[in-house]
Amino acid sequence: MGLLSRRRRWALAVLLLLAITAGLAACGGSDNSNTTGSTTKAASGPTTITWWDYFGYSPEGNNAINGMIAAYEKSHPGVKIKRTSYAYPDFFTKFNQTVATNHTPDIAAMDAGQIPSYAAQGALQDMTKYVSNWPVKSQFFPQVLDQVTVQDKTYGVPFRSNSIVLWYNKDLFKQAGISTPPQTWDELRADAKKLTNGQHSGICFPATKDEVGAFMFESFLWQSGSDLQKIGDPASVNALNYVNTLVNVDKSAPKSVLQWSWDDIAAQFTSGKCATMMNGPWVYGAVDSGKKVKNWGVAKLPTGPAGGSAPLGGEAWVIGKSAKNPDAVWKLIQWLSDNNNSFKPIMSGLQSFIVRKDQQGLAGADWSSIVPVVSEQVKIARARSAYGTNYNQISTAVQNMEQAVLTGQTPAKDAASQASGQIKPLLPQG
Amino acid sequence: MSRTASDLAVWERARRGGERRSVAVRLRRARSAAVPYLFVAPVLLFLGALLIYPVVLNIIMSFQDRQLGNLISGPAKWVGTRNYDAIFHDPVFKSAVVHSVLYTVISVAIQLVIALMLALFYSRHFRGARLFRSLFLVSYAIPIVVSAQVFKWLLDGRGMVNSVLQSLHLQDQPQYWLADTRLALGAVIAVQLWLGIPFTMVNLLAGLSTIPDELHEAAAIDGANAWRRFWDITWPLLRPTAAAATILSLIFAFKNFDLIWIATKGGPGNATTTLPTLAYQTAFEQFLFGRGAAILNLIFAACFVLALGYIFSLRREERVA
Repeated sequence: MGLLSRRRRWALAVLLLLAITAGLAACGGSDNSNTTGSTTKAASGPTTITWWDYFGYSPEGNNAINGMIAAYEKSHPGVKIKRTSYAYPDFFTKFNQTVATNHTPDIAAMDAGQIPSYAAQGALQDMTKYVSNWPVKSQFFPQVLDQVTVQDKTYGVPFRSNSIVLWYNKDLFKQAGISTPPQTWDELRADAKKLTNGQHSGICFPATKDEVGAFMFESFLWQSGSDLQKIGDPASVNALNYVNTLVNVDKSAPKSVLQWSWDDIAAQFTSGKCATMMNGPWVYGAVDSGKKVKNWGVAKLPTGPAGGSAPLGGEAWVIGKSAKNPDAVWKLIQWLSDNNNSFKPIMSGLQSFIVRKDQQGLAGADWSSIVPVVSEQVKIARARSAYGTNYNQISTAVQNMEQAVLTGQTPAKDAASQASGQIKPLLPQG
Repeated sequence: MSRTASDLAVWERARRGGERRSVAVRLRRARSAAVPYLFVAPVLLFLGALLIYPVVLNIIMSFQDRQLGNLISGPAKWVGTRNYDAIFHDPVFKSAVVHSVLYTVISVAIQLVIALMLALFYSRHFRGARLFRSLFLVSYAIPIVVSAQVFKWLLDGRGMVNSVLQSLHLQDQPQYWLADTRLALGAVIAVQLWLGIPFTMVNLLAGLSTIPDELHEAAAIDGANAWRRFWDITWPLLRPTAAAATILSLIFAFKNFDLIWIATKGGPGNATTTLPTLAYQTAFEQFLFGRGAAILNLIFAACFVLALGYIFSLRREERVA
């Protein structure tokens, strides 16, 4: 009969079944409860604020954030801040999960370009009531405030800004006999041609099938005089053809730019394989500590037929929709927006540039040699918030368009009109 | 023997007692027959919660308009087949179907041939056979994320594959294996071969080991050469195992996401976009969860059919064995 008698086996089976069912019920129960963020009303006991960001990628960034958090906790004894830091790509996946399960962090450092989409999805709390009478609000540069404004409502407080600039290898320029960095499209094309040989490419910029590629291409689009709403017009075709010329006609940009993102291109630049690159200040740490390329400089992006332009990047503090105590979070945001508390760590630790008029001339703004050039670029940079809440889908159409042209699948004119047909219904109507 | 009243009474009592006893016996038999099902019940509940529930939810979601805000809770508009219409009219979807089928069929076909040759080779007994056999499993043991990233670097325009090929004078210009629309799908298939051959080879080796050597010896004595021995003895006996391994590889390749996503993200220009990568982009980059669910349902349906084929082939294998 075996070790167990029939009756004992029966009893064991029933017990197992009960145990598993109880276990499942316990797991299932906690998911169904509607627990939202963990801020509690600070009537008694400490307030806990959950904080999410993606600045753990560099030691300076990590220290800057941890320093500010520690300073806030010290000056506000009743508050504890629980910080979680993710890598940039994971951040949004995880954040989406919290939105879906109504468990968002109380405060997050959110990529400003994503704020319109998230606001439209109901993921962020409306901060209009907090900022409407806030004296600091008028200090923000207009395009910086544009980023966080959706249908006249404010969904974030910007604290970091950046844009793309042209980095160039001074030694390779000297070798090729070029004295100054290119200032126009034509000069860039000529210089890149001269700088391309078996050892290095003249120009590198990302043309990947994701937001990075779209972000980069938008600068060419604006420099040509077109815009996302006007894709299909001759200026947009001109921009596509210009990029195609660099990659496929002159071959000054290697075809790998279809796969290279910011970090890959920075790695190519620092190993001397790209003579110039279009990249942002977030790679400053990697470039500055590079061993091979020591003599480099930055310049504004070359101007196109319609002048100079670049996309505006940056982050803003947002309040997640599940925050139970938004007043406490707003207090934290106000503290973080005080230059005395945050200016130095944000500028040098997070490689940022000024976002407000009252930050001009402050000590700590000049954290590196690239600050003057990038600040100038930020001044003429454009926010992506004007395109409404379907920006993610519009960006996909732009990515497909650029890649179709660069892979030789579709001529520029057809690709642009195809994209235009996809984009028009996604733009804010009326 | 004559039946007296007392005999009848005794039989009556015995009969009723027998009935009671048979009821007890029946009850006990029913309980012991139910015990196996009780042991399996927790697993069924578990699978039900983890598999059936999400699948049903996904099917429902594909007929609704789900965005991020109302993904789990909240009202969602029922839009009928609008999501399916949208994807069937999308040229990217059509090319994704083509790429998925090509990727799956070509990689599994080549994988099967090479794995079979390797399995036949390593089923022989020679010094070091077992060691080399297990070395093949190294690629199976490395996480796909790591292999994909390494191959991405190797296949770069400035990567090692190009420098090796050029130093061997097999090409004079660097090829952009992952950035050229004509080469990208082939390059990804090649990486999939590297990942998939060990699994198929191990399966086939296991199948080969069940074929007794005496059959080969007898055939050799009768004058059969190597090819006839393979075709008439090995292959028929190996066929059920090979069928099972093939179908498993088909399922794995069809739903493979990690490799393609890390190597090319579906690019360049959607040249390596397959159904899984398209579903991910639709749901998680464009926040169109209803449409993403529709694509995922199609993947599920295809894999389900393949899985039924696998179960069918298993039963055939058991019958042959």
